Amino acid sequence: MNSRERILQRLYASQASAQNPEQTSQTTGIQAEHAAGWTQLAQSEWLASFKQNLLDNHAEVIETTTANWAGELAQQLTARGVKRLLSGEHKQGRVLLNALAQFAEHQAAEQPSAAIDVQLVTTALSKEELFTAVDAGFSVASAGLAETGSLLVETGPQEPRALSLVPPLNIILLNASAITASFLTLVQAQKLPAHMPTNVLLISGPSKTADIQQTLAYGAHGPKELIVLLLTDA
Amino acid sequence: MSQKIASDSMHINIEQLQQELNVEQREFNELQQRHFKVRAKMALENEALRKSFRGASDFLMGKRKAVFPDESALSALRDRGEAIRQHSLANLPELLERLEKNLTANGIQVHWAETADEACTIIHDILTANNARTVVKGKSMVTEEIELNHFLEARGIECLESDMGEYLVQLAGETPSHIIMPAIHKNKAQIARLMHARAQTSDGSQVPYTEDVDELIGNARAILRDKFMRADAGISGVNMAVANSGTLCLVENEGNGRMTTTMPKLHIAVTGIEKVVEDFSHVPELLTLLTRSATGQKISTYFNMISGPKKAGELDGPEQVHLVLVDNGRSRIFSHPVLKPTLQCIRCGACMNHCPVYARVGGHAYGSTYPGPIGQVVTPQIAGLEKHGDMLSACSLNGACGEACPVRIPLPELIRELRAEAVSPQFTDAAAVTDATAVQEVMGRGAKRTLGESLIWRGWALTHRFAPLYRIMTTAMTRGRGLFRSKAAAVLLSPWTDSRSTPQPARRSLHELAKARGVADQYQNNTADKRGDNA
Repeated sequence: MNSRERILQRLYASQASAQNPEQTSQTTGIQAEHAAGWTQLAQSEWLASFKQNLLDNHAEVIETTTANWAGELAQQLTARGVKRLLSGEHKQGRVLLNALAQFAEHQAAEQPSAAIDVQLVTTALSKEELFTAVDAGFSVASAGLAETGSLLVETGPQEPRALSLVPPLNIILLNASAITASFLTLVQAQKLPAHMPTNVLLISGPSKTADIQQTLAYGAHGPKELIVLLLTDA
Repeated sequence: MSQKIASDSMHINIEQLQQELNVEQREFNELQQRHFKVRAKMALENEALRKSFRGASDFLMGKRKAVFPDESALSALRDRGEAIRQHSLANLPELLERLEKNLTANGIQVHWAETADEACTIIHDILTANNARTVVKGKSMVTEEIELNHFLEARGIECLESDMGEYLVQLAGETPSHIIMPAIHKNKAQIARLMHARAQTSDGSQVPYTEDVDELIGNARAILRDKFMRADAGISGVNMAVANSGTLCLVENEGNGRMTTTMPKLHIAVTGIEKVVEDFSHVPELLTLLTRSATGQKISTYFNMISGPKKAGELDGPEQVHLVLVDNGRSRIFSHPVLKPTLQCIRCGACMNHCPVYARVGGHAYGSTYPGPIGQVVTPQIAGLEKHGDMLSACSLNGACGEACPVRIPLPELIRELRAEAVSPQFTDAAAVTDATAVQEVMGRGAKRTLGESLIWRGWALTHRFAPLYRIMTTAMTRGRGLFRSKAAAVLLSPWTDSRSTPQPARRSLHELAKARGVADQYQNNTADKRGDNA
């Protein structure tokens, strides 16, 4: 008998001999009850709560529109001196690529050096490059959570895991209509993918730590800054 | 000493500083070998340490309180947390099998370890099979429990802790003093000295001396990001393992957990068997209870849900993901009718933050991986009462831990039960011990039982059961009260009176006083009087 069998045998044996009626009642209760008692935000509060929570967690929220976001982001990136940005190979990434190309044309006359190198990644990323030569990563969130100010990012071939992790500046795009009350409502509405992608994330701010004398510091191991582009018309 | 250096940072003698730290480390290790009472005494005498823990406890209690503004909502949420965890435990073996099935279907390889040593061996074997020589670790208490770092380092594998607190603790050659904030016992100045004396940047140079927290973190960030980029393998813990979807969930703020589980080619997750939950619908409430109770956050910066290694077409992520399920005494805890709720724990640390004893003696005094109330309950059950039974005395049964616990583990009751186990006679029925269906006695049951103490308690029980004996005792105590001031009494009572005033019996017993006032010597009358007094 191997360890697996011995562990399971002990557990099954104890389970069979345990006589615990109250436990069974709790077991049935767990299916029936739906988080009664725990506060859930009303829909009218979702947007404000979402934004406030992100601000509290040191993120920046830019409210914009489907037509304007890429242009606005271009300005932001230029102002921050971003030289190199990586995005997944998706629709929004291509929109950003075009917008930055246009922006560069406009700017070229005044600031020829200000051009931003945007790349839609389609092949495996070099770690060396990722850690040392990329200033910003661009990701798209599939949902937002009002209660906590969180962004749901589902990684996959078009959304590499490292883009929201390694570059110092993390930019995440979200449709305002995808905001829901909380993680609980998201799960209960079965909005998590039926077959979970290999890596799904809730991101609620730039990376941080308070491990030195409870003093908060941003930019622990991951991004130092998080910009959320919130599309109010989508 | 540290202040001197701080005010005069231009003149730090690096060699002297390194020697000082070596001495401190040796002292730490020696102290960890000594008796619990010695450690507790040393901790109480260390003002800087007490200040660190007092500050941290106040800070964390305040943060938790602020994020649970509504008492009844908190109470309802704790009910849910308790129900979810009890549901998981009630179905533990089935859920573990389901978890294994779904993880395997997702491409995650599952391993089972009965003991700490077996878990370490499994992990070592996975690493060597993949030629992994360097490992970065995300924060994981279970790998502290099984002492994985020692095991791997003894076999030539570099094992670097990447949680900021764990990194600092490892740099100092110490162990975590808190399960959520491992370096809680150190202040800024101590960390500044440590980083300057021992940390090396990726090009091998010294880290400049600074007490600025942003700079300190920035320096550690640079060192650790380089390691994340190069490490052969990442080892992490797990906060929740979801059986129905085959998902491993990790809660963190720093990004080191994501780095550990994303950047190296090989990811090994390690967890106790109790961390499984049935379904994703059970996750959100446990998550909110965990982060709010631990650090007063509505949510952590990252909630990382891992359901497989890199798939075809994906551009990054580990090529292999393994999960090591560790028993190490948990199935024994599972069999105990009273102690079973130990396994409800979600490792938030709220019990230690609220424990008045922990706030004074700090984490290291307990001499175990898990300090504070949950440590007092977990450690003796995993490692035995003979070795760790003494820490059970570090409790005033004030109940704060039980009230703070987000999943309503009755910690004071469990501590009491373990105290009783420690002084109970061992099971004599050999059949009961070997029968797998029987309640397993706690390892080291009876280890703290002494003849003298059990006689005293027997005598105490006897005098309280028989009125004549009781009368004789009270008469002796009241008439002989002068003896309590004698030299002999001073010696006899010294363990108690060293830090407390000498007890002094009254001149007359309550019974005598009542009688003198004409209270009838009848049980029913007495109770009637008492009720009257209370009203």
